[in-house]
Amino acid sequence: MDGFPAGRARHSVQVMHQVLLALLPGIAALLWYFGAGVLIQILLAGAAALGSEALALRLRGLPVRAGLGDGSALLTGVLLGIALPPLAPWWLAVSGGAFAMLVVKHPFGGLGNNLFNPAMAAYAMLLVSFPDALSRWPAPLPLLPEDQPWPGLLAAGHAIFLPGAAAIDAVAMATPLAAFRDNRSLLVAQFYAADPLFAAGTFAAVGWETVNLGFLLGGIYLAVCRTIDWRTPVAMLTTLGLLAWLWNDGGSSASAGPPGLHLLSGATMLGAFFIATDPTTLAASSSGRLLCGILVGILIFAIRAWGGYPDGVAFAVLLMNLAVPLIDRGTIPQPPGTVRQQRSRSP
Amino acid sequence: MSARRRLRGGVQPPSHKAASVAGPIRDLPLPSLLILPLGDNHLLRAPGSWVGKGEPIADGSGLPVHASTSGFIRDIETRAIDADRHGPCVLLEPDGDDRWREPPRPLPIATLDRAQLLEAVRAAGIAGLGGGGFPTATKLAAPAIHTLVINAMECEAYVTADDALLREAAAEVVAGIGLAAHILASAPRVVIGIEDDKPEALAALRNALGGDDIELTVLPARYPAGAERLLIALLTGLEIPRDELPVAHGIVCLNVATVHALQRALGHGEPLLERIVTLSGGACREPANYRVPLGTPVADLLAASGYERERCASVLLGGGMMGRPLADLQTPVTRSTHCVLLLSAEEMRPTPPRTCIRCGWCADVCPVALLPQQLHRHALAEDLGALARHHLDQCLGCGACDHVCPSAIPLTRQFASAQAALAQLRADRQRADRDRDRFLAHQQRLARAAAERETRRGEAHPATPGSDLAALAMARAAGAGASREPLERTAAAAADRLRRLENQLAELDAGASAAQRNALQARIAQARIDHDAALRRLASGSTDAGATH
Ligand code: SF4
Ligand code: SF4
Repeated sequence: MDGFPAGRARHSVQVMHQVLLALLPGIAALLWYFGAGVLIQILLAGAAALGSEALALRLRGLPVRAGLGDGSALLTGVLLGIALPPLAPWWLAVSGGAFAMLVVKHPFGGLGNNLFNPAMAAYAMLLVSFPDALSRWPAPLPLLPEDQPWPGLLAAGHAIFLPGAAAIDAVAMATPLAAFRDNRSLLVAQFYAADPLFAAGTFAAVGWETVNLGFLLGGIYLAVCRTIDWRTPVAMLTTLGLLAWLWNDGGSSASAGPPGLHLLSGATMLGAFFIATDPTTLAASSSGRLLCGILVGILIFAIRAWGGYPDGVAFAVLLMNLAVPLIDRGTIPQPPGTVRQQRSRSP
Repeated sequence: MSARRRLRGGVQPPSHKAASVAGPIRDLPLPSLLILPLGDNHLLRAPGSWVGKGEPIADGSGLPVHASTSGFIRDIETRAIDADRHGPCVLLEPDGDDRWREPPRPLPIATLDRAQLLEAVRAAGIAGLGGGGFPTATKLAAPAIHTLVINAMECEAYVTADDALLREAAAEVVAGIGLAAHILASAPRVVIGIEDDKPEALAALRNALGGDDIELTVLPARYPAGAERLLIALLTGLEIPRDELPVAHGIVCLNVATVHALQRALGHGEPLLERIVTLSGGACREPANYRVPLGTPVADLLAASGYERERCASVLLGGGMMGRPLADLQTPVTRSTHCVLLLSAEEMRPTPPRTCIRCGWCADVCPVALLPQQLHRHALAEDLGALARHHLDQCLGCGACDHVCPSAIPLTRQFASAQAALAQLRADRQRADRDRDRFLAHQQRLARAAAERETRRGEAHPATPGSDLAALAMARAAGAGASREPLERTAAAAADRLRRLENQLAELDAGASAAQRNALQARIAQARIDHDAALRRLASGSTDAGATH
């Protein structure tokens, strides 16, 4: 206590817990469609992040308990775990979690001071270093062969901790964005009918669309509670949708993908509501946050349409993070009265 | 006018108002000593002499000081005059009779001209009672006022002084509004802004207004809608720049307690001798409003209401949002004291603050669209330039950002000291510039004189190449000035930084860890080295500036 009265509508720990809560619908959809591996990845990455955070705090001579208690490391780990393929080998999640804390977060000054979003920086590092392992997603539940059960803890654990388990490798299949990218000759409608992922889906690819809708649901909850700023996701999704609509080319074989595909595939919703909105690595002002959203939307679309990776959320967010100091400098809001003042001063 | 702009940002803190306004306004027994801040005035009566109630005892360039009750002038002493300032104060020992020198008599308002009325307002010692403390006569003296804004907002948490006043004396408030409009003499439009969370006061005010030609606007209760400039913007749509006064834009804003004092002064002939103070807080046994003679020590106010030291974690001077912890309970109640809070431990902000997570909620609630998280970051880095770029000088100190910060960072306090540092830097810079200009002018005068001497000598002895010497002297003077400027700035900045760090060390409370203390001491040592180096460079720069640059 310092002699001042308490105000605090909410505590920063409560904020992190609220974000974790908002992730649940998306995580549940992932679990349902892609098996218990999701849970193992989240636990692995979360544990690695917490452990590395503790190590970093101890090395920096900071109180470990209070630092872990703020929930930020756990959130980073969980986000990374969600982004990783459910059956990826265990050391990816562990090294990613450690990288996020020991390389991305703490060398820049820890909580509130890191330049890059730790979860996305770790994911990007893994994606660049192990592109194969990170593109190998299992088939969603409805597309599993008859004799293949939903990968439970045992089967997923086997695949994760003893990589090379061929039984599960057999059902790996391309992600919707990768599949669409490989299409060269079919009209969008034909491709949707021919590809099993899209044939079974309602708006876009089966499974993925539900996962994205789950994250959308949690994201709307956070925006309504004003835990996140609505401007960034709205700007990002609008930009992405608009660009996709412009380059859809009427659904020809040269289409870069219809808006529905871009909005409900890959990490779009997760990125829009949970990653791009990370306030530490986001611009401070409202207009700056709007700009950040637009920038991420453009970058995601550009990477997906013309870049070397099927999805671009991680890279787009990192590039936006890099631009934040510049955006912050250019978007200092004018307090009321000051504009008028300048006008009346210059005759 | 009904459709109005909404307050930008703002918060809705728990108001805690109901308890203190439930009963009538209470009177306080006379204290054994009154402490009256002297301001810029001199004593009119010698120490030891008896003064009657209402008698002026000091006057001068400030507002006159009156005896709040009859008694003897004891002494002049330096005392705490608010939560963080000390100043000379007249000590008045009440004789217990509370006897007027002359019984107060209403002024013949109709026969007085504007100048006489303004002088009467000044002589009654009336100043803004809402907290600003600005002399009311000065405001009313402004020409061409088109709008008179009456502030009945009282948006601060816990405070109900104006609410209680309106419940009990709405008629006098309305009379005071009429007087203010009369003195302004420009037939201004009158607008009253009141919040919707005090229906009794609103009803009383409506009732008193009757069919008067006064607009009453009920605004949603939202902190800090009662801040002068924000209220003006809400009621009139005019945004007054921070460095200009509302009167420059044809607007005068007065608080309801101030217009009430105006009516007491002109309508009854009583100078401003008392004010209503809310006593409240979780550790206050009987929250209520008190009619308190000016100069009453806070300790006497607390004693009258059954103050229990053990229950009270902190005494705050002011409301729940902007109040400041009071170290010295002998601080007197002044014109701007509207509230004293006794806070229990549960009502206090926990320390230590955690790191800023940049959630941005502070920016969402800032009523003047600042980015407190950026200000916080730059204040930590002591980057005064960036602070100025982010409009630190526009901060109202309202505390809305503190209120929502999930990391419990004392933002307002940090901004207040950063504002002081920035003002100091600007003053230092101006002084340095002035000194340099003076120094340069002096050098050039010397050089010119030398040149003239040379020419005169040259005319006598045409062979001497004197004008070269003079030109050299001129050039050196100019060169020295040019190279001194950055050096002077560096030195001033280094001195400023050193001073600020030392203040920080002094302010570091006992609870601070040894590590914090050591870190600060290390920074001070470094600052001292930088400062000495800057001074050395400055000294050598002034003797052989040409050589270094
Ligand atoms: S409210 Fe507090 S924690 Fe959030 S951005 Fe502002 S200063 Fe930082
Ligand atoms: S104290 Fe200053 S920065 Fe904070 S909300 Fe009020 S005006 Fe804005």
